[in-house]
Amino acid sequence: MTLLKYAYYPGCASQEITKEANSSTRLVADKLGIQLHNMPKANCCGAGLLTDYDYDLYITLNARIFAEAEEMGMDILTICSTCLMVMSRAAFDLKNKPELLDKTNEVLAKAGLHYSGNVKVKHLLWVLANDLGIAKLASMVTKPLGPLKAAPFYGCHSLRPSDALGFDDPERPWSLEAVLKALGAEVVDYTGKTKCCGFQVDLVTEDTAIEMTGTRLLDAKTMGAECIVTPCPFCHINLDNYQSAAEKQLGAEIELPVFHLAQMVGLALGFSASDLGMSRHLVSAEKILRR
Amino acid sequence: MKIDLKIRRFNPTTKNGREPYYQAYSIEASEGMTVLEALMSIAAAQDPTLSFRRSCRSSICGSCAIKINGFTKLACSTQIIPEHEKAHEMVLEPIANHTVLKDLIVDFDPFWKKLDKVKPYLMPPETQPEGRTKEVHISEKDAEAIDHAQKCIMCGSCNSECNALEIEKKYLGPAALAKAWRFVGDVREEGGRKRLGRLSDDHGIWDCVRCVHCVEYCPKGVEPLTAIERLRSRAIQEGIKDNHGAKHVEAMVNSVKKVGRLDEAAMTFKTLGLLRSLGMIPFGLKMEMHGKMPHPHLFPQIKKIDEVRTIYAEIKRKNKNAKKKPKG
Amino acid sequence: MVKHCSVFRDKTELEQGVAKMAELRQRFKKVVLKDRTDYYNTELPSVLELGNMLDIAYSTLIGALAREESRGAHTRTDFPKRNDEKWMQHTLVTKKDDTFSLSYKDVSFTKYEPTERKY
Repeated sequence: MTLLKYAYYPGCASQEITKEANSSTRLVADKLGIQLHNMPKANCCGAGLLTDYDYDLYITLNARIFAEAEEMGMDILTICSTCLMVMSRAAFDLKNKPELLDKTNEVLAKAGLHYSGNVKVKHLLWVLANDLGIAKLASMVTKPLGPLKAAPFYGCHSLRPSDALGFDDPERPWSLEAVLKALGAEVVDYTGKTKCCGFQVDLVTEDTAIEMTGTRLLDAKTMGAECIVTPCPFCHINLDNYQSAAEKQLGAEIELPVFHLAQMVGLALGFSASDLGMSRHLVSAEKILRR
Repeated sequence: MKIDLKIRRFNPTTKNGREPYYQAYSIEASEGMTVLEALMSIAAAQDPTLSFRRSCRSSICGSCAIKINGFTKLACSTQIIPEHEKAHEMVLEPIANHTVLKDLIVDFDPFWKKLDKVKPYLMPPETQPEGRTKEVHISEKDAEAIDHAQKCIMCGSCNSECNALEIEKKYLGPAALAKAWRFVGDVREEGGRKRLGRLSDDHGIWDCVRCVHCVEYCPKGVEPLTAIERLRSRAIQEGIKDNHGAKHVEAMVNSVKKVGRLDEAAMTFKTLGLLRSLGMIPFGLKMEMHGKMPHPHLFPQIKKIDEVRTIYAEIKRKNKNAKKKPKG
Repeated sequence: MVKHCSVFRDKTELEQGVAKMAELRQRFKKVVLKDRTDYYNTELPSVLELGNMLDIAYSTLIGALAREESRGAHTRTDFPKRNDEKWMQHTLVTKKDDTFSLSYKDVSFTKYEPTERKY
C-alpha cells in the first residue's frame, strides 16, 4: 500500500474559529495512518475575496501555496471546502493556461519561488473516500454510529465547479454518504444538501445568509435528520453559529447539532466528544451523544 | 428502451390544473434521443395539452431550459438514456426562481427587466477623443476578457440555479450581471464607472453568494461568477468601496498582506463598521463562551511573509504599468 | 419530403409525392385540437404551422415536378442538364380557393451573370 502523506492545509477558519475541526482531523488522521505535514509558510487562499480583488494576485498567492507543497513533494490536503474550491480553480487555470503559468512564475521569481504546475488539491473527504478507501475506513471503525440519522451537507465548494475539482458528481454526490455509511450512520437524503449555506454573504447581506442557513437546516430536519455533517468549516459556522438566529428569523424550532466530518469519523474511531472539541459548538450535541 | 417520465403539470385556467401535480408518461427511447425529443413525442402522440417552450433543438435559442431530475439543463442538449441511467428517474419540472405560467413554461418578464436594468448595450464616449480617426482596435486579449460573457443565450439556467436569487428575489442575478460585464469589460466602453456605481448598490454584484451553481449549469460556458468577480475587481479599482462587499474584500486583502492569513475579528469590524459591530455583541458573547470569538492577537504571522508582500508589490507594479499603456 | 423531394429527384418519385401530399392536405381539413384551452395553448400554433408546412411542401413538389431540368439543389436525375433557355426563371405558386397554380417570372440580372456551378 502506498504511504498516505499530504501537505496539510487546514485553512484559516480551522486554525481559529473552528479549531476543533483542525484538532479532530489530526487525531483521526493519526489513527488512520494518514500523515499530515505542516505547511508553515502557507498563506490564505483568499476564500474567493482575493479573486474579487485582483485575479492575478489571487492566482499568484495560490501558486505560492502550491510551490511550498511542490517543495515538500506532496499533494495538498485541506479540510475546508472553500479552500478546496479556490485552490482547485487556481490550479486548474494554471494547468490549462501555460501563458498564465509563465506570467505567474515571473512574479513568483521576484520572491525566489517557482511552481511547475502539477500539485493536486484534495479534501479530507476525498482522501477518506478514495485514497484510504471506504472499505479500509469501515474496517477501522470501533464504535459504529448507528442508529444515528445523519444528514450530509456538502455545501457548494466541495462539488462545484466540477471540472476544476474533478472528483464527485455535483448532482448525485456519493462520497460523504459512503463515508457516513462506513461509519455506521444512517444517511438522510434531502434536497438542500448540495446548496449554499450563505456564509459568503454573512457580513454583506446577513438576512439572506440567515434565511439560507435556516432553509437548509429545516430541509434536513423535515426529512428526519438528527444531525448534520459537513466537510466545510464555513458551512459549520453558518449552520451552527447562525442556527439560533435562523430559528428566530424563520419562526421555527430547529435544534440540529452540526458536526465536522473529522468529528464524525473520530466518534466512530472511539474518540470522545471532548477529545473532538464538541463543547465548542453552539448547538449542543449532548442529546445525541448520550445515547 | 422504455423510460417512464414524471412531468410537473400546472394550468391555472382549468379546474384540475389549478394545483400543480405530476403526470406520468412513458416513452420508447432510442439511442441519442434528447429530453426535448421525448417531450415533443409526448406532445405529438400522447398528450397535446403538455406545454413547453422550444425552438432550435440545438442549444442556440435558449428556449428549452427545464429542471431535469432536479437540475437545470437544456432539454435539447441532454440525452435521455444517459441521464436516466445516472438518476434512475426522469422528473421534468419548470426552472426555479421564476413564476410558473403553465406546465414547463415560466414567466420571463422579470428576467428581461433585470437585463434591461444593466443597460445591455455599449456606451461609447459621446464625442470621439481628439485625434482619433480610425475605429478602436480590439486586440485578441481584449476580446478574450469578455468573450465568455458574449456566449449567453439567455436561457435562464443560471438564474434558475442561483442560490442567492432563491432567497433574495430583488437580486439582479447571474444572467444580467454576466451581460453587464460583457459591456463594462469592453475596451470601447466609456460609461463603465457609472454602471459599476449602480451595480454596487443593493441587490447588485455584492448579493452573489459564490455558490458556483451558475458556472456549473450554464450550457454555454458563460461563467457568470467569473463575470461577477471581474465586476467586483473593477468596481474596487474605480474606488467604489462604500459598501459591505467591497469593505469585506479590502479587509481580507489587507489581512493577508499583514499576517498572511485571515484575521476574522478584524474582518467583522472592518466590514460592518463600528455600529454594526456593536450590534453583534450579544452574538459575540455567545461565541466567546464557546471559545469561538476570534482573537486577532493570537494570529501568528505565517513564515516568510516577506514573500507574500513581494508578490503584492510586484502585482501592483505590473498593474500600474499596464494602466500606463495607451488604449487602442 | 425526404423520400420524394430530396436533392436528387425524378418524375416518378415527385408524382408519388404530389399524390401523397394532396392526400395529407385533405386529411388536414379534419384536424382537431385536443387542447381546448386558451392559455399557453402550444398545440394551436403547432397545428397552424402544420397546415402552412403542408401548403409549402405541396408548392415545392409541384414546382419541382414541372421544372424539367437540373439546377443546384434541384437535381432531376431524369433531366441532368441545366437548361437556361427555358428555365432561367422563378417559379411562382399561387394558392386560390384551395387550388394551386404555377406561373413564372423572369430573372433580373444585376452585377453578376448567373453561371453554372461546377465542382
